[in-house]
Amino acid sequence: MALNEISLDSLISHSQGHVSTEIDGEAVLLSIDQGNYYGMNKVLTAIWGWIEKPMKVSDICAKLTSTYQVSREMAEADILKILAELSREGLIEVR
Amino acid sequence: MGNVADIQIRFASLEHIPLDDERPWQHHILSRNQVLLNVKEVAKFLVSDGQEILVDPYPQAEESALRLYLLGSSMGCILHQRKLLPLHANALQFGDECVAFMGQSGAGKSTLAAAMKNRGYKVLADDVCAVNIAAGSKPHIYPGVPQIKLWKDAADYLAEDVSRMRRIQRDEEKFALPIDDGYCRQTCPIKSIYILDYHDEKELKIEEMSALEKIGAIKNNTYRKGMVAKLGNVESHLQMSGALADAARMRRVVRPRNSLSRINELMDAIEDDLR
Repeated sequence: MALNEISLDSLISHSQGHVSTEIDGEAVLLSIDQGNYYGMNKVLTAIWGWIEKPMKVSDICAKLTSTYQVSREMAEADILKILAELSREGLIEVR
Repeated sequence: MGNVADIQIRFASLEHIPLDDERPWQHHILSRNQVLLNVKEVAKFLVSDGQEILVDPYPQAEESALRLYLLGSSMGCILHQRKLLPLHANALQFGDECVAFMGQSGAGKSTLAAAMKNRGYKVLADDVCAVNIAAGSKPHIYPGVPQIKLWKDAADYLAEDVSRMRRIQRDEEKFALPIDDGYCRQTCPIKSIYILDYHDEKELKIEEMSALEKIGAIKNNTYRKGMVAKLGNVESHLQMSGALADAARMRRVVRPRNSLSRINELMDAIEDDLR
C-alpha cells in the first residue's frame, strides 16, 4: 500500500504467515512463504508487540508519543513511513 | 548397562518402500515421523520417530561410507525429529561450560578444534552438535562422536600422523582423528558461540552481531537445514534459535585468509574474549 493510502484512521494488524522470536529486546521475523528474515530495532519491536491486536494508527502514534517522549508530529511522520514499509514487505495488514 | 538404548540402529530390508524419485541423494519424507534417506551405492536409511534407524546397504557398499551417512545425515535427521537443534559446528569444554565454533567449510573449525584439543581443552562434539533448548535452563550441547575430521593439510600442520588415521571417504584427503582422553563425556551448558569467517585484511577481529545476524548464522549453520521445513519445524526452529541467541554470547571472529600459521594467536584471542 502506498504511503498516501495509510491514514490515521487505518487499522493495523500482523499479517498471516509469519513467525517471530525476540533476542535482547529485538524481534526477528520470518516470512514462512518467502523465507525472508527481518530484523527490528527496539522501537519497531515495541510497535510490533502493540499491534498483536489490531490498532488504529492514531492510537499507535499516541502510544509512541507517550512511551518515547517525542512530539506528536514526529511520531505521525515516522509511523506512516514505517507502516508503509512494513506493508510493502507484506508484514502487516492495513484496513 | 541395562538401559534401553535411546536409538536403535539395525540392518533391515527396505525394498518394500516404493520411491518415486530415483535421484542419487534424496530425503523422502514418508510421514511426519519417517524419513527415508536414499544414498546411491551406499544404503537406504529409514529414520523413524527420532528413535530408530534401519539400514539397507546397496551391494558392495563400503563401511566407511555407511559410517559417514549414519553418523552424519541419518543422525541429523534423528536430531531434527527429536526437536533438538543440530548445528554444523564443533564444541569444546571450557570450565563447566562449553564453547561452540561455527562457520562455512574452509573457515577452519576443525583445525581450530584439533589445536584447542592439543592445548588441553576436551572435545565435546565435531561436525554435528546436538543442542538442547529446554525452558528454564541454559541451552546445552550433548557429547557427540569422539573424533575430529581433518583435512590432510591441517593434520600435517598439527603434526598428526594421517597414516594412523581412518580415511573418512575413499577418494578424499579427509581423516578421522580419534579423541581418546581428550573427549568430554558430559553435557555442557553453552557459554559462547563463535562464527568463524575470513577477510582480506591482516588483523584478527572479534565482532558483535545484531539479532538478525545471529538468527541468520544459526539458520545457515543448522545441520541439514533443509530438514527443518520438510519436517514442519519452521516455527519451533525459529523459537529455538531465538532462545539460543538470547542465552549464549555470539560473536563473529574474522581472520586473515590462509592464516593457519597464526592459530595460536587465534586461540589466545578467543581465550581472552572468554575471560
